[in-house]
Amino acid sequence: MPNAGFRILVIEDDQGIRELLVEVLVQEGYQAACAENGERALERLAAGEQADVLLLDLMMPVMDGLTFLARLRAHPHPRLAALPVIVATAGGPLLEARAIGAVAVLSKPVDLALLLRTVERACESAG
Amino acid sequence: MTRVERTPRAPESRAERGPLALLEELAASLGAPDEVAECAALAAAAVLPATSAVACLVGVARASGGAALYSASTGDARGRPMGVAAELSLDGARSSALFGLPTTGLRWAEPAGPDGSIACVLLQAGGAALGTLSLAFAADVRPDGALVAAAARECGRALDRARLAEVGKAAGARLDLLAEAGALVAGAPEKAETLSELTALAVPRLCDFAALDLLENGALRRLAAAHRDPGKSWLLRELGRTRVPSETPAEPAAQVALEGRPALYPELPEPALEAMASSDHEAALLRELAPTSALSVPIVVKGVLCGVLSLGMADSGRALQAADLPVAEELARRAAWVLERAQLRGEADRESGDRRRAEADRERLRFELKEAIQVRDSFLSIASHELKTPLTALQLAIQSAARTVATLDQSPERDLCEKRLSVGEKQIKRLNALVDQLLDISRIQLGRLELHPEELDLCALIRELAERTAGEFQSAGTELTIRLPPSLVGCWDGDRIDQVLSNLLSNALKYGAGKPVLLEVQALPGLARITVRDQGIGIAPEHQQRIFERFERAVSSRHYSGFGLGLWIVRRILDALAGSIRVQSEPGRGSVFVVDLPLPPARARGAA
Repeated sequence: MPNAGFRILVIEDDQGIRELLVEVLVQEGYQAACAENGERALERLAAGEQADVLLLDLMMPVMDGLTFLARLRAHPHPRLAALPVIVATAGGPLLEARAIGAVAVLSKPVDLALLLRTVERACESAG
Repeated sequence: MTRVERTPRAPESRAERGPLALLEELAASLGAPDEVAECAALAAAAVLPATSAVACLVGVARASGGAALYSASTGDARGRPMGVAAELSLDGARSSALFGLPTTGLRWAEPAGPDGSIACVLLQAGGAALGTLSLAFAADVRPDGALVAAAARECGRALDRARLAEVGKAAGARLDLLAEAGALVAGAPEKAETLSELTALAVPRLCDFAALDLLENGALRRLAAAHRDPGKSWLLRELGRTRVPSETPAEPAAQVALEGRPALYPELPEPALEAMASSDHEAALLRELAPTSALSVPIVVKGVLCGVLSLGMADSGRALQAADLPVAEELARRAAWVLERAQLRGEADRESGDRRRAEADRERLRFELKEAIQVRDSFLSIASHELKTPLTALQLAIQSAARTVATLDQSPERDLCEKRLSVGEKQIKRLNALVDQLLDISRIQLGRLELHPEELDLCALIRELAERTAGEFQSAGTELTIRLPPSLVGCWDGDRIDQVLSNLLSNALKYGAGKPVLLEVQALPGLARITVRDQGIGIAPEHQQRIFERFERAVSSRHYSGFGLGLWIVRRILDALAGSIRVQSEPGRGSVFVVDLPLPPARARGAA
């Protein structure tokens, strides 16, 4: 499978969406993992968990997407600071997300075909 | 009138010294006295020996119209010439004071006889008569006319200097008074206190008593009074209790209050005093006060008569004259400053109170607004999030299911699933569009319709939109024609323009009766014009404005779905974009929606 080997981390608070995304991504051949908020994701990434592309929700409890994005970009580890992030959000600060350096900002409900194309492109540029 | 011989038999002493020396002596002895009375007495004493007269009289004109006589004489002075000289001097002085006689030169007067002769000369300076110089000569003396004239000139100059010095001194005293008043006013801690002190300043330098009345609600109220005899101040206060000017119109202060002009009474004869009193009590008080002269001037603040300053003479024998008016007016002006400053302070206090209240109100409103904005923003966020999250999950589920189904082997079941999933997907999109519309309405209502303008090519945007909607038009069997210039670049919010045009195209499709729809873009001076034309059911004239309002539509909701909010949102978006929308339509012949967007001239490119 062309997508095999690329690891996607889904950061999303809504369980239904989170599980669906992981399932779909796995179905498409990716390795997918998920975190339910920014803080957990940051902890796991800092602990060494591998990821090639992040799929990020903006409106989340504990640590929201924008804060996560800002922390990630400021991370002392260059690999983490440079991770490509795709934002998928239902309203919220789209422009800010773009400004902090998301490779793409998609609005929810996100079209699956568009999402998969975007992930694929992000993986290409990351790989 | 007898002509006196010009070749006098001069006494030895005079002859020895010569006329010039005599005059020099005279000038020196006159010196520089700074009072007219002193000067006149000195002049009389000095002229007497210089002219060999037996008597010398200097009559001085008084500003009040009278005359004063100053004389010097030798033991030889006697009899009629002396009396005549005195009479002439007084007359001359009086007339010069009264009429400012322009007479020049020497006037010789009778009688010259066994008792001697007299000479009377007008004393003048700068063309103004100041008084007279009268000389009485012994019978055996031939007066030297030239010498008398020269002496008169010297006396005139000396008197003029003395007069000026006196005026200067008086002016100086007045200036001191005004300076003190100015300093007082500048301090101005309290209105009443300052005005009391100001009133007291005038006594006794300017007058024997002074009073200050404020004009409030048409009545005079005495604020301050001062008398050179402190024991009489109560009279002024008693006389000045609140009074209505029209009831005592003869009283100077009332007169000023009524007429707005200064009132001057150099003299106050008994009948005038009686007229001022409005009661026996007042008449008694006035008799006790015994004013001999009065001057009242208005106190005017910003063109409004606010009070009256009254000055009076009582027992000093002085009289208030027209010359006192400017000083009185200056004092009144200073009183006006005090009042004006008090008014301003009052206003400032009121204003600062108002300001504080207004500031508190604003602060409260700011806080409430901030809270409202937070509530509103969180509402919009939450509403959007809460509505979109299940939609997202639903769409993901359906689309991923569709992807999976698509990988299955061809079968009627797979086709059925695909069909059902496709319906589901379409309904999700529809539901999503409705949610968007509701959120937009909330944003518009809450003033939160944010714009993100960026430089974009309107034509590229429309081509993309056309591609996206091609399927819908195709399935409806409606032909969509797009007519565009090669490019039209402006600075707009692309998403919002997309929203506007999607709405118009979807309306054209909905109400177009399946007939061709034309979307055209024109670059006009200063604006980009987008026209969406259908040939459908059209809109009756009475509905053409209504359709841009909320929950309004030209057709029954039973036949056409939707909130009836699309065009309202479109209009509000165009308002926000500084654009406009209008419709031209005829029932049964279709509608033309014309959207104008502002286009900075420099950005217009590739105009059609």
